[in-house]
Amino acid sequence: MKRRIRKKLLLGAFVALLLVFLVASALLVLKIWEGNQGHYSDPNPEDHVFIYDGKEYLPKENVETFLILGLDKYERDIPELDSYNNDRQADFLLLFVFDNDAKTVSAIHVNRDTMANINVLGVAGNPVDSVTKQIALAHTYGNGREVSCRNTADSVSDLLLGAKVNHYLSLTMDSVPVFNDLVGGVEVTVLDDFTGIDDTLIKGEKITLMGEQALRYVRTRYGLEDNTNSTRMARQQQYFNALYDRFLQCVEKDEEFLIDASLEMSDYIVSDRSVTQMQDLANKFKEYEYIGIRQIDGESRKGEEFIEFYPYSTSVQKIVSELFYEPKI
Amino acid sequence: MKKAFACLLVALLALNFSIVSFAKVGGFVSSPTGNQAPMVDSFKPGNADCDGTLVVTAYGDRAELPEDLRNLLEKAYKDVASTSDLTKISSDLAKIASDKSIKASDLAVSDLFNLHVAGCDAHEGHYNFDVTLSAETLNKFVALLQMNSDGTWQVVSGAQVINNGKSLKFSVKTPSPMAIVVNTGAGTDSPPTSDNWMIYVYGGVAAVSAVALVVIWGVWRKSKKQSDC
Repeated sequence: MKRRIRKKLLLGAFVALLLVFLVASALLVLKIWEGNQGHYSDPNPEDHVFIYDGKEYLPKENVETFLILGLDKYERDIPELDSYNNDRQADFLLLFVFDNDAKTVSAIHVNRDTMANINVLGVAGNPVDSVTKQIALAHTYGNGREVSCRNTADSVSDLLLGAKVNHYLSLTMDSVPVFNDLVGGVEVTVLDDFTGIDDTLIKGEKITLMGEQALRYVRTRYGLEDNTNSTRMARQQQYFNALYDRFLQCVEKDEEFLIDASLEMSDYIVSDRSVTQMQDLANKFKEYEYIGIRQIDGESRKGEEFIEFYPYSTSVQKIVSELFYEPKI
Repeated sequence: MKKAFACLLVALLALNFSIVSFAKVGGFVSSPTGNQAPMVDSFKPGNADCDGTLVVTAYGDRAELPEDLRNLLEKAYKDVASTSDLTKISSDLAKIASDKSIKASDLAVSDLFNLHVAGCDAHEGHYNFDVTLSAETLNKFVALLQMNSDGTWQVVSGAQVINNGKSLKFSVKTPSPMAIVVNTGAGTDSPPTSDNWMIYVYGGVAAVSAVALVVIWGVWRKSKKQSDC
């Protein structure tokens, strides 16, 4: 009797452990396979062939990118004396991808907590080291203006497997209410509960955001029931899509809207584009088909002290292959 | 015994499927608020009578300094930012670069800051200050430069990196503008890939369960032999 019970126990244990072994092995093989995806195969360096999901891709020839950085500071709080580093983080990162052949524009919304390779800039403004940190911090190296923007662009480029970031534009936080009101306000359905923070923002209700209300809607995290950056990003994307529609309406009505807006907001902006060059971009926004915003999937974890977002390599490869490459014939 | 064993197996199965969920974040976890300028971890004046405080002021915060210290710090910035060859501002640094076979063009200043003593009137006779300071780029450290009041530069001898590359320990008599010099030509570590650690977890679980399977099979074979006897 005892032997029978023991035999059953052993059999049960064997079956259970076999199941665990098979599942763990399958997951291990999957992870190793995922890691091998998206590598560059370069028998001819000039080909720049990109391999994803077993298929070969070549870079699209006529793609232009434009990085928007939203800084976490007010323009009035920026010190007059500049330095080789600063405390302005890029809390909002949106990369527009213009496919000039297909006449489409897409966007990639990068999580500010994405752990990325960042160049540490020395006193002379040149890279002296590299660190892996939240990508928002890339802007804190450099003079807080052009050098910092370019440093952030380099980190975004590295995150997107070398996709070039051609141009940039950074805006301080206080530009949000200004641009919001220049387009006549932005209508959204409130996604989160702002009770105690802004009682005019009632979850589920449609409202036209005006002034500082718009900034509170896209910026607030602390104090909300769901205070993750992912939830804030959802509001930012919603707001941006609605703002984009309003912006296009304004450009349709008035060809010089973007030039006028750029002049009105010049104190809040740092860009490598002149006003005339911005007008060219505005024309593309008007003429091209807007595909929408892509977001890189990944996992948030608590680091030693702060939140860290780790993008899934497969998600990065998928987005890069779709926006920057085309299948090799 | 049977129940305990069954519970253990269930826990092992649950662990396998719940590895990812341990990584989920609950509650408010803040994002970092900025990169860090060098910070003083500790300092010890050579004279026990000194009750001053050692103040480190990053270049970006120089507006907080008295005018004379600010002017000196700004001169220090101009010196290091305007030269492509740091060995030209300090012959000591040139010798260190030569001894370590570092190209002059690979030398760069990663941090510039001012040190001064506040709250002590008679620090002239207070000998050396032993300082431990933390900074970000010390893994490529070459030398610590100090600007004298006459605008000349000298290497702070004996400065050494400690605490696994996180801190710099040195001794100075007269705190002043200081510059951390690094070798940009030194190798860099590749940034860690995002989720490689999961491979080790799955591999570990597979290996442990494989060993357990072999043990159980061995026990079963033994008990079968005993029952045949």
